[in-house]
Order: sequence, then structure tokens, then C-alpha cells
Amino acid sequence: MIQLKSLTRIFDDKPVLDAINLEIPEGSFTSLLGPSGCGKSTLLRILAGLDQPSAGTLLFDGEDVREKSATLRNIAMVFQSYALYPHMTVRANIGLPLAMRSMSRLERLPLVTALLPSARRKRAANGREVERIAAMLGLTELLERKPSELSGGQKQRVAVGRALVRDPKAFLFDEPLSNLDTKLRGQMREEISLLHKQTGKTFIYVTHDQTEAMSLSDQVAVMMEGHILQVAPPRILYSRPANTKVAAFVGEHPINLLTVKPVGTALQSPFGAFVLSEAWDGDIILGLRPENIALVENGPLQGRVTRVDYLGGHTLLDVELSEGICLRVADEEGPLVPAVGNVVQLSIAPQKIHLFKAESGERLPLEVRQRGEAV
Amino acid sequence: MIAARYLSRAVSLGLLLLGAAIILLPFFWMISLSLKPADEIFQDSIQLLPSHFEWNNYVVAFTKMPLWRFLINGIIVCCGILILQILIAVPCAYALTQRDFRGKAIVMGMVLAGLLVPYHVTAIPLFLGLSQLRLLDSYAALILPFIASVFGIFLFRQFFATIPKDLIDAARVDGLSEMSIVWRIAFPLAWPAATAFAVFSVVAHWNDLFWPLIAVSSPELATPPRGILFFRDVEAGSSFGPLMAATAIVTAPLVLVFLMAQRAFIQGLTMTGLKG
Ligand SMILES: Nc1ncnc2c1ncn2[C@@H]1O[C@H](COP(=O)(O)OP(=O)(O)OP(=O)(O)O)[C@@H](O)[C@H]1O
Ligand SMILES: [Mg+2]
Repeated sequence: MIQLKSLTRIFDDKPVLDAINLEIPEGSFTSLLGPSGCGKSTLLRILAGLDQPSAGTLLFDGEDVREKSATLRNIAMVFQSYALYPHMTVRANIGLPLAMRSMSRLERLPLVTALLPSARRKRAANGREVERIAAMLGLTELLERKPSELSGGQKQRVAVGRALVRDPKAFLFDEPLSNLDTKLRGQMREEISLLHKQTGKTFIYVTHDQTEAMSLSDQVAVMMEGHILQVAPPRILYSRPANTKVAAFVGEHPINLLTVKPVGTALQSPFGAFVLSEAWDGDIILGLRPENIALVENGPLQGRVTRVDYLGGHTLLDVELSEGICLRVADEEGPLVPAVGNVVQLSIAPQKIHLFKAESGERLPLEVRQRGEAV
Repeated sequence: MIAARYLSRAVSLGLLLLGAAIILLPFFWMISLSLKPADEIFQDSIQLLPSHFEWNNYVVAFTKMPLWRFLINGIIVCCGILILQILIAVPCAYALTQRDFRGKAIVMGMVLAGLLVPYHVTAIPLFLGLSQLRLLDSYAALILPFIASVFGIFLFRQFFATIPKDLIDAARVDGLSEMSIVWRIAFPLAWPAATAFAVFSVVAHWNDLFWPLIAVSSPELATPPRGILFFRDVEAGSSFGPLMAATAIVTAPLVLVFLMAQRAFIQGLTMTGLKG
């Protein structure tokens, strides 16, 4: 178990990580999801021991590791740039961490390795291990190549192999797939998921791609501007976002947000008239995902289409309900093919509406019903 | 159009040839003199080629003086200097690029300032220091003053600055100590810089006459240029043939080293970045 307690990192008087609290259970697959520049890599580097926190504690199995060097922490990391050693073959790249750990300083000297029996034995064992890993990752044919002679996907595999070879406590991945094309990305995603199941180790995976985070993880930590906004399993993250920022970040298309003022339990909004399960005093932000709005023949809402984006499989529409109120709608390919200027009818599932407090943006734990529905 | 292009080519080629001729002429003259019989050397008229090849000059060069000894001394001194320079400059340059410590900017500033100090300035303090340590007239006196090379630190620093930070971090995560990173990762990546530096260092110290003249007096410690001076002393300037033959022999290793390292040398100076 890895625990971060009010971990803070300050660069030039600016907190890049601001009192981060996070628990990463042993053997879990945890993603850090957030936009570029939110401090994901900084957090990963602190976990790996490459950077020191300005304040706060970092515990591995209850033990404070802030004083421990990267080597002693025994954490493997796959870098976004892969960071393969350009002057070494794939075999040497994968084998180096093994040699550094299993052999003494003396045994690693080039001449001694040939002479000392213990060094020879260890070298042979390391060689076998490298070949086992290479076979597992389909790299056997590439073992004698230099990194400059590999494709992006192959480099990525070598980087994973180098991390895998030495049985670390945890694996850290820093956006390992962001340099690959879409198809390869999907394939490598599956392989990483498989790897997690095979090894049963703790995986910590940094990404700004929510598809990756959602499909791979046991839990996702959403980061923004140095804060963790929510830590939750992917389903919860999508269905019960903790605040407007998470709601806006998670989801294929940006969520529709609209501020309204309830009167007691009654909620009159451009989306329709609703009833709250409890009275709330103060402004409320309604959140409605574009994919939870359907184009129908006969719906309670009506609007004019102002924009159509065909995305293959579904269509993203902007529908103007009334002056200045625009709704984003993701429409599954249906019998109706709208065009700009058309007037369409919409229906909304009230149970899919998210409620947030307007002043803080936090989730409001209330239910919504359509007005007039039986209690 | 095409004619104009040919003309400009011809002009630039002509200028290059002229430059090459000017630079090569002394070398040509040296070889020519080393092959001329003694009476031809002091003729009034200038004759580019010897009337017949006087190979005996080379034999005399090797027999009159322990030329082998001078060459071996040159190799010992140059290798000693180069190895120690690299052992010191590479970790220093690594620390200046890939590590953070207080006063880093000041140290870097001092390195740059050090580049501006001609080494003749420090000769007298060095001489006095070595004399206090009773190290004068030894190999140590020829080698030790040069082992900390600011130029080397600067050159390697420029190269190490192009190594991505991730690569160094990956090595740290993989369990390499800082020293292992220096010698297993950073130094092998910097081999073009190392070659360029080696050429500079060897050329400078092989040809150096100033310091050997100050630091050693025993003939058996003389470096090649110092050794050539003995020819003049002994022969009182009368036999230039063997002197020139010795000079040609002494220059040859440098030309060979440079020709072998030429490509890496130029690459090291232009500092093409690293490809991962
Ligand atoms: N060594 C440093 N000195 C000063 N500021 C830094 C340093 N490293 C990172 N930062 C700043 O910290 C912030 C977070 O950087 P970080 O690399 O952690 O972002 P990230 O979430 O990994 O972004 P990306 O998705 O683009 O990789 C950035 O604003 C960056 O400018
Ligand atoms: Mg990053």
C-alpha cells in the first residue's frame, strides 16, 4: 500500500502539488487523470524517488520513504519518452537493471565477469531472464537491435520489458501510449491490462486520456491544478462526479451545465420542470451529459439545431432551446437525420441529471424527478 | 545561369585550394628538406624537390639521438594527461548539467572564466609549487599541471546538456549510482565529444614545448618537441636534414590520429543532438 499524506511540491513559490492525499492499495491499478500541466508527472517522480516533496509524507507499507533513493525504493517506471539507452542493444537495455541489482560492483567489471564463477553464473541467469521477458513481450527477434532501429510500439515494449525484468514493488507509467497511433494504443492498452493481471503488482498509470484511465483502472484519481478532485472507480466517476470540474472533464463530450434557482423543492429550468427530493436553499447547477439527451419524435423539449458534427457512430448537435440557452446533444444514429436549422424534439431522463452547489461546485446529494410523476 | 553557378563553384574551389596550399606548404617544405642532402639545403636558389632522396637523414635522426625515447615519452605524457583529464572532466561536466547543487552557476562561471586564462600565466606558480613538492624533472611534472581541463569540462558539459533528463532518471530508477550513470550512460553517449577532446588534448600536449622546457631538464624525460631541440644544440644548427627528418617523424603520429578520428572529431564539434 502506498499512502500520500498532504503531499506538497512547490516550484518557484508556486504549488504544483497542493496537499495531495491518496491511498493506493497493493496490487491495484490506479490512474492519475488530468489535463496537461496539472502535476501528474511531478507526483510520479516523487513516488519514484526522483524528486522530493516540499512537505507532507509518503508511506510505502506504513514506512516513510522520503529519505530513500530511487534505487532503494525498487520502483519501476516507464517514461513517456521511453528513455531507452541509445547506445545499448535491446538486450542490454532490458538486462541493465537486473545486472545493477543482482551483481556486486566487482562482479560487474567487464574482465571480472569472465573470470569469477559467481559472476558468470549470475550473468547467465540474468541472460535467461531477459530472454524470458523478451519472449513474453514478443521482442525475441529484436534483442540485438539498437533503440534507434525500433518503431514506437517496439520501443514502448522494450521500456515495459526493462521495467518488468526486476520484480519491482510497483510500476509507474507516465503517459506510455501518448506517442502511439490509435490502433496500436488500443492494442498496448490491452497488453498493459493483461500484464497487470499476470503480475498482480501495483500499477500507477498517468494519462490525460480518459478512455485509457476508464478502461484500465480499478480507481481513477482526477487531478487538476495540483489538487486531487476525486478518487473513485471509473463507473462512479462517470455516474456520480464529485463536482462540476470532474463532471466537465470526465465524459466523451463536455457536459451541459446550467445554473438555476429552486423554489423549495420545485425546480423550473429550461430543461423542464423538476422536483427535488429535498428542499434546497441556494443556486443549483444542473449537469446533463449530451449522451443522456435523446432526439425523439415527440418530446417535452423543442429547439432549433445550430450545429451538426458527424463523428461516425453518433452525431454531436448544438440545439438552441430558447434565446441564449444552448444544449449539446450526442445523438446515436437514429431514424432522424437532423440538419442545421431543423427544429427537433428532445427528451431527458431526469434520473441522469447531476446536481451541484452553485457556490462551490460540489455535488448535491439530492434526487430529481419530473414534475407530476408519482412519488 | 548555369555558367554563373560553375563560375562561383570554380572561384570557391580555387580559394579553398589556395588556402590548402598555404597551409600545406610548410609541411611540404619540411619533408622536402628532410630528404635533401646537406649541401642542397643551404643553396641560394629555392628548389622544391631534392635532387636525390637522402634517406640517410632519417637514419641519422634515429641514431644520433634517442628519438624513440622522445616518442615514447610523448605517448606516456599525452596518454597520462588525456586519461586523467577525462577522469576529472566527465564527472564534473555531468554534475554541472544533470545535478542541482548550490553555487552551480558560480562554478559554471568559473569554468568559463578559466577558459580565458592562457596557461602561460600560471606557469610560474605551477613551477614553484612543483618545486616545493620536489616533483620537478619527472613525468608527474609534465602531466599533473594539465589534468584539470576547463576546456574538457566545457566541451563535455555542452554535450551532456543535450542528454534528455528522462534518460538519466530512467537510469536512477534502474538502480545505477551517479558514478555508474556517468560512465555507463553519459560518457558512452558523449563519444564524439570525447574524440574531439582527445584530438585537441593530444595535439596540444604532443606539440607543447613551453612547459617541458620549464619542467624537465633530463634528456631521458624529453617530449618530442623538446627532444628535437637537442638536435640543434648538439649539431649547432649545422645539420638541418636530420632535424627535419626528426620533425617529420614527430608530426606523423598526430596526422595519423587526426585522419583516423576525423569524422568523429567534426561530429563532436558540431554537436548533433542525441537520437533516442
Ligand atoms: N523542475 C521544475 N521547475 C519548475 N517548474 C516545474 C518543474 N517541473 C515541473 N514544473 C511545473 O509543474 C507543473 C506540472 O508539471 P508536470 O510535468 O507534473 O505536469 P503533467 O501533469 O505531467 O503534464 P503533462 O500531461 O503535460 O505531462 C507545470 O506547470 C510545470 O511547468
Ligand atoms: Mg507529464
